[in-house]
Amino acid sequence: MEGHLRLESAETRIERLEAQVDLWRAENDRQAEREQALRAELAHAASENRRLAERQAAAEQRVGQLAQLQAATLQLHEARQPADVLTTIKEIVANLVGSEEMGIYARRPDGSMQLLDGIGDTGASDFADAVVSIPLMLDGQPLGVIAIFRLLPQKAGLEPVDHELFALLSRHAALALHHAELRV
Amino acid sequence: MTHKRILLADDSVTALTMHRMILAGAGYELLTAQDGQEAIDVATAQQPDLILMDVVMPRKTGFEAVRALRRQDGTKTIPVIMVTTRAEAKIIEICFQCGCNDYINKPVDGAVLLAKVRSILGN
Repeated sequence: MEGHLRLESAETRIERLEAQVDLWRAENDRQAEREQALRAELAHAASENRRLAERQAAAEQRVGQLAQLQAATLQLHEARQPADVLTTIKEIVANLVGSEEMGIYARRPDGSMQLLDGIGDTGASDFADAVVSIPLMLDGQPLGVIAIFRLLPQKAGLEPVDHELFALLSRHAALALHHAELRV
Repeated sequence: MTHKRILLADDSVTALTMHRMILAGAGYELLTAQDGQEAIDVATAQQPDLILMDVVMPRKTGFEAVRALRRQDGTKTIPVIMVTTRAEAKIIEICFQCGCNDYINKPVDGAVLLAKVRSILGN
């Protein structure tokens, strides 16, 4: 009788332990699922973070480009004296475009060009060698040209913002030169 | 909240205007100087948190100004980012020999400038 009871008690304990093991397994499975869900959530958050960082970098780059355009416009409009206008144009091309050789030319009545100012050995430069020539236009008439002969070595090539700057220079530098009575 | 102060030293008004627009928009307080000697004077008097220094400037070059700042107790630890026209290794080496903490090439990219400033001053 006593042996039967001990056997029964042992079976009960085994059943209880098996039930406990089942509970632990179920809990373990839930934890594994939860961990998987958290890992997926983490990966999504990391991806979202990267996307936002890229968007922020792109936005900051654009802000920088707009600051370039605004600074260029502001300085051209503030330049009153002929020397200030020429210095401003040189500063814009040197610092904002990134050039180490450029010239500012006024168009003579006969169509030939007169060098007003420049950076580097502009006198020896040929228009045909220019990386880019920016016509200075006022009321549809050409007043002159800004010729960029050489970019800084670290500048691989012209970028879209440079062309925005050229469009700005074409109008606003012409206007500034005109107002400074630099026409030849 | 106290804004971090940055001294912009450049003889080009156009470059100063552009850098000011980018950095003021990001919440920094700005001081300016238009030559190397003025940069030393302003840094000594105002103790900015960072200096953005052009290389080619009248009175004293950016290199000379940084060397002078590194010799003074009050300014020797102010971080300096040199703005260089030339990106050759020799020029960069001189930047670091003078005691600059970093450099940025012209034409300055606004996003790169902000990233370098934040890496020194924190967000």
